[in-house]
Amino acid sequence: MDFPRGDLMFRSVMTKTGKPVEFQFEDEIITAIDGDNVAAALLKADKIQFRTAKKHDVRGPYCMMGVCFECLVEIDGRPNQQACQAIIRDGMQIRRQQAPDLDGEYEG
Amino acid sequence: MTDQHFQVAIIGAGPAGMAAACTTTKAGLHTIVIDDQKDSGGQVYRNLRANHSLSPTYLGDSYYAGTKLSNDFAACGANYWTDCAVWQITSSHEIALVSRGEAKLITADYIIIATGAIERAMPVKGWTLPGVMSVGGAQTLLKQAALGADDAVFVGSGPLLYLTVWQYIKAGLSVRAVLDTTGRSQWLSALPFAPLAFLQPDMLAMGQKWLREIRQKVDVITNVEEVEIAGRSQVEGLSYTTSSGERIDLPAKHVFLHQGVIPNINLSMATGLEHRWDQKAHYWAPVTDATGKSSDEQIYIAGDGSGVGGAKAAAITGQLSASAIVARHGKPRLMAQLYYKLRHLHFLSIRPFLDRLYLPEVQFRIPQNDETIICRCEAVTKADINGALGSGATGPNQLKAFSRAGMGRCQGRTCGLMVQEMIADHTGQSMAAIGYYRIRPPVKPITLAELASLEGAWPQ
Amino acid sequence: MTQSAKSNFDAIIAGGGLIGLSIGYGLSRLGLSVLLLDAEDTAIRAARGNFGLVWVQGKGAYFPSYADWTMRSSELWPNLADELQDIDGPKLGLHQNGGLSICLSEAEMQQRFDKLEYLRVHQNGRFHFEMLDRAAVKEIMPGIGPRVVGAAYCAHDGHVNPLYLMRALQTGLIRNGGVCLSNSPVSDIRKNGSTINVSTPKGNFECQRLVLAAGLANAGLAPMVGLEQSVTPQKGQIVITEKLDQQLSLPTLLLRQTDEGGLMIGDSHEDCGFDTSVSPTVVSGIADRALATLPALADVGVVRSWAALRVMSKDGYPIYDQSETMSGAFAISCHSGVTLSAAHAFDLAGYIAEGELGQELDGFSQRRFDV
Repeated sequence: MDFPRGDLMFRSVMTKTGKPVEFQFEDEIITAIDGDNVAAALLKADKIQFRTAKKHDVRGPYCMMGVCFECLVEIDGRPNQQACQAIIRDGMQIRRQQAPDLDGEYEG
Repeated sequence: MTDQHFQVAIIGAGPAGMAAACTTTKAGLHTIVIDDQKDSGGQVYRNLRANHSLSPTYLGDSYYAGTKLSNDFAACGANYWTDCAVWQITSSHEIALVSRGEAKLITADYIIIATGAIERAMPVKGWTLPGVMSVGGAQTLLKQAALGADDAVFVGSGPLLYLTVWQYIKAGLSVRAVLDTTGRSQWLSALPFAPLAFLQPDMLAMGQKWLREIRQKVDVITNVEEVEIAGRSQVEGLSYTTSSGERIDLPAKHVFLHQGVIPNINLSMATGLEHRWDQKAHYWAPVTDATGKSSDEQIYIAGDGSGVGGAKAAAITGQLSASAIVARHGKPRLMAQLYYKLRHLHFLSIRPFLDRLYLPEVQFRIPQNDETIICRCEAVTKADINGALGSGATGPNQLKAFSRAGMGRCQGRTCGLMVQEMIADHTGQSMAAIGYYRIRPPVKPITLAELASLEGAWPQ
Repeated sequence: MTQSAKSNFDAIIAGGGLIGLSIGYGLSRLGLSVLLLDAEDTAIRAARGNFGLVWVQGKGAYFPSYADWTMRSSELWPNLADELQDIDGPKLGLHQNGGLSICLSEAEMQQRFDKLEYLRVHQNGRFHFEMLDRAAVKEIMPGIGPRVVGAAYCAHDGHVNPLYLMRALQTGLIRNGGVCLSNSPVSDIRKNGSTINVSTPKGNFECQRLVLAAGLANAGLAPMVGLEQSVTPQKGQIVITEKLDQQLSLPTLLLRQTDEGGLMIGDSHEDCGFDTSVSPTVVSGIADRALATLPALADVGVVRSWAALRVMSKDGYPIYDQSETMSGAFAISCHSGVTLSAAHAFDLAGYIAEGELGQELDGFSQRRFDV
């Protein structure tokens, strides 16, 4: 399948000024601008898969206004944070939100 | 328990909430505005004050039209709590809030709920794949983060779709295609209302201008049907059927969906206010009088949350509700009320036309494939809903219990109307008779620690 | 279903909650034709607010026949689950590996011990429990907070998804030829010779057996069959969290983790009439107690809270009655519809089919309040 444009999924359409901040997504260090929301910062870095709802059921940001709860990520160890409502901060540790791990007989 | 008392509490700082606050503070009423965002403007004027200094022209005049209202609001002197979410309003008019890790209760003589609209779901196959967003979501990214995606495919119907495509091309982004799903039958059913629409020539003219400029740069394909999005862990392409019956495949990384907007009724429903099914517009709206007063004498609903009318109408309804409250505080506003009422009615006159035109066809309201997800939060498919119907579920709340649809984090905001319509189809009852989910607090996210911070007593 | 073509049934059940569905399913599996009449989707319903415990410890401490009946149901539960397992639909999630009641003070420990010891002594060796100290509780629930002093453990306890239980019972009832009608509250009941006539907004129906299992509405219906059911609402509020990795291996009286991962936290006991509103301060108290038990839950998000009304008799125990003036008519009122579901589906349905309540239910008549 061909994609005529460059690799970046989302790109800036305006030069934005602001303090650069670094955050970590999974094992990768990413630079963003202070004050960006987490979802936007991740999308800009080509990250569109934010969580798994079930095995093989991957989700990403959908409404960007706090309604759909599809953009949930783990931020600094706190699960189920709405990426579109959270503001990126220097040193933030972000991970994909995984469907709960329920072992033993709880699985189902 | 109550920390603070206000004469007026306004929930939401979009056009309706801002306009209402300007009116109540001008009349000297002790007013609080509560909003879960960091800056005023709601969705329509999102990030307006920050964007204003840079003034990117791609956002267009309709966006900057909110500047005066935003400035007036900033100067009006209302108490304004940002980053603060209302998770419940009790029957004794306590407003339960959560902000920065702490919960509290405030009270008010009058409450104006101005929580706006949300987008109607468009549950085509593959609509949960990463890379699919709502058009509103794509527009928010543009307004708030100045981000856009090249070669996206816009699918659906309605003014917001065309406005966003127009903003995209003005921002220098390439748009692969617009697939307009407005059916011929919708144009026909909208026609009787066309004369009313002509009372609003500027709105129609604006739409024409967008469309002309869009067509110069983008393929606009009309009468599109049977849209399916393909991909495994992200969007890889989509396919659709043209009016001549041809099946087209299109590679795409981004698909933006839109089928119009509906009132955001979660707070008004959770508060136990009366709602009515609007058959023409195909959504639930709170029962209000002309001033926005709900079935609770102390609670008003303003803006799109009381019925979708757009930003300008929202501001007017905000002023109307505020004026009615000012009058009930013994400061009659007879002239103002009448004036606003007239303008309000005038403005809304284009709505019947738009409602008919943009009410999506059944194939875009209910998934066509068994595996397509209806409840995103709980990953409940159309087949799962049919299974619960087969178990004898005859109402939305029983079906919720049987299938988990509507039990997740979004509290049915996405799946509510789909589930209701599937029950109506299955049982042969009207949408009004089926009813809606019973919405439970908290209507906004709150953690256990935040909830515990309210210092309630363990009840024995 | 919204209509019924048929008007004559072996049995009619008034009430589509856990009591009505369990009995209705039980009668249908015995081969009776059953019509279940349910109210509106938004009616006051205890069943849809249920916490989901299959609970034995503490039940009937001072009412031995209730303790026996509860134990009997707990023992029958695996059979019910096995039977319902064969019906399509989501897994019931029955776990009967024991349960805990967490104590936050020595006084609570002592109170709990006294109650359970009384039960043990009066249950002919059928009931067992253990008091666990803090260290022992910590082995089962590593994250307990500093305020936890200990817990009572009872191996008979368990939990299940109450909503899927309702779904399975209803599906089973329909499979067995039963008919469920919604929006059909009973408005009138009359005896006509050997049959009972039941009026609803959806039409009139005839039956040989009538079971009133309409929860709080039984107070109004029972006199129509010459019985009395003095029941009042007791409000319980429950909080449910977002889905989590496994936090709890056993359910407790306050917390249980569902198969989907969400934690249910409850529940309050309030006497405040027919008010089903959620009170912010009460759910705050519920959250507070949950955090005292497991402090690590602090940042866990709340998805939903709700209030439901328990069906309470004057002494809190069930009422099982059969009419003397209208033979074939029964009235059942109780809370704990999940725990008792198996006894209702098997034993009680059998008695009703035969037309005579079993003698172990003798002490449960409304007449016990006449003294």
